[in-house]
Amino acid sequence: MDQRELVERAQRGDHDAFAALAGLFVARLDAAARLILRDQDLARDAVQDGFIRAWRSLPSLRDPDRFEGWLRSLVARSCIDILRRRGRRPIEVELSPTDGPSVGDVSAATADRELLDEILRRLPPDQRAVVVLRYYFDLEVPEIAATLRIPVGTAKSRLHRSMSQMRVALADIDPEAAPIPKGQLA
Amino acid sequence: MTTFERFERSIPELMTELAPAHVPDYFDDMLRTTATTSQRPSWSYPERWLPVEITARPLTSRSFPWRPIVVLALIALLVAAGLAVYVGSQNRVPPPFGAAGNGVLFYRASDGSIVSLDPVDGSTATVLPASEKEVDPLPSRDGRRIALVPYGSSTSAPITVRGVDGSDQVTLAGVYREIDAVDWSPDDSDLAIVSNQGGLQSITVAASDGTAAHTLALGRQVSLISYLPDGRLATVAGERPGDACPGDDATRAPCALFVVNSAGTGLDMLIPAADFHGINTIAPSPDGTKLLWVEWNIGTGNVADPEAPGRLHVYDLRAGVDRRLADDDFPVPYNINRAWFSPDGSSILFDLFEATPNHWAVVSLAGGAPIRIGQGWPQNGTDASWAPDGRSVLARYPTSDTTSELWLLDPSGGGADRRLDGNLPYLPPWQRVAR
Repeated sequence: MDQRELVERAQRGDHDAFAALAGLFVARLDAAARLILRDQDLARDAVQDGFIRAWRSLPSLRDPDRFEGWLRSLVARSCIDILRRRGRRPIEVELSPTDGPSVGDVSAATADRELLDEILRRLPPDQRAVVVLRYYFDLEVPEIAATLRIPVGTAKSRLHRSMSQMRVALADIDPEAAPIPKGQLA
Repeated sequence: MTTFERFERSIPELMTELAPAHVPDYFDDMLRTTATTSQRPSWSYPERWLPVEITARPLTSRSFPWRPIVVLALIALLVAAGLAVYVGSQNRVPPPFGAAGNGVLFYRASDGSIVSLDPVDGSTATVLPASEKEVDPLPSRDGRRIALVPYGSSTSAPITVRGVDGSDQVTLAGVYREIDAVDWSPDDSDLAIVSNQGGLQSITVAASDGTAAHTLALGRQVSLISYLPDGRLATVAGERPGDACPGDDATRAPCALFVVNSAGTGLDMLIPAADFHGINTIAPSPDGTKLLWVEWNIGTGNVADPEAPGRLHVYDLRAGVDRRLADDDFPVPYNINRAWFSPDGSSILFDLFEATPNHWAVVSLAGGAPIRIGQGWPQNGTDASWAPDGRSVLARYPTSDTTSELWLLDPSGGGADRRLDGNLPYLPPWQRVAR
């Protein structure tokens, strides 16, 4: 049974079909939520909220082929909603330990991962969501805008600011790794 | 490839390592929740009926409209500021000393009513109808109230305070007769009154709201008072306890110049009687640093006698030093009785008695030749005062025992003088208003 058929069945109330669909996407959406929220428990809340909304609203989805993006959008917006409900208080890093780098030099990969961890921690949640959608889901700016339901210009500027801050943070954390060209924010 | 570009390329992989994707342990619980949750029917969604372009469009309009809100907030701030300025302008009051705006003149009309006269257009308005007791108006420093004072009354009479429109009468505490002088305190909360208290001309400080009054126990006769900007009173009084001022003996005037706290404490003699001889006017400078007084040798017995050595003196209240104003450029002989600082404190208005017709005159505080202003007058009995804004001098010239002319004089002596309508028995006080 292909994904489209699962979606159509789920739209008609077939919960098993929905469970199958959920199984396909929950792992990456949970990981993305952890990256955005930097908190395991909040990520669980966001993913559960997103999936419950998806199940309830599934009959409204007119194009079954858009299910993945639609679900991703629901979960991403649940993340944002949770942040808003929390008043955007800083969230401590609480990511699960990794299984270790899969490729390349172990120490270099670990250092880069810790670097990214620190850089993400420094980004505001709104920008972190944009970065996760851009790099984790490989979405283009218009897709990011549609996912977060923000104007394309806003998505573009958030991504631009994120990149600038990442560059600064990278130079700050590891000055030799990313010298800041003249004229850029420091 | 820069280091950052290399790093950027590795972000997806690093994210995967940072947050490994695995089916979370809450997955089954989540499905149990969804299984017990009912779906909304498809027909209840607008997306079912509206074009997808509308429902799937990124909601640009849902972004929070910061820009218009900021603009509206700025507009609201401007409106609020404008309102604040407007309201502030409605409540503005002039400073208690120094230059202020020119309000109206208050005077007692021949029928005893209190009238205001607009010196600009000559219009008059009755503030209060005639009362049984003759009272003269004295506007407060902020120009909002008038004290109604029964000057000179030999029988006890109340002093009342009203709004300049005649409203809200307050009767001051205390009993007053033979009132010689009244002055409003800098903040208009009190009035200092020189009146007969137990047979001795004394200073009483009465709250302008009528709640209290106390007489300063100075134990000597008081002649003149004037509030200083710091709230103290400058006064001319008998030098020693029991001294009269001026004395019954015209050849001896044991009056000295003092400052005293309004509570009656801290009596400080600035100039002893032997050096003073000043009984007509004392006037503080607007900044409160100087006190202007006129030395007058009462021994001549004639205030208008040009041979009488009336001289201008300025006492420096900070340094405690008195100096006589240089008169090298004054006519010889000359005599002066009364003098007042201009509202800006830079010059002095005084009556100049000389062999030729007398004049009101202005001289710089720094000295120099006096500038005679207005018409000459042969006889005594004129009065003058600075306009609150200092741009003119209000002068009254008696034309007979019962008639007089009111003039606004150009203090520069340029001759731009203007006669006002009115026939008043005395010089009306001028209301100070905010500029």
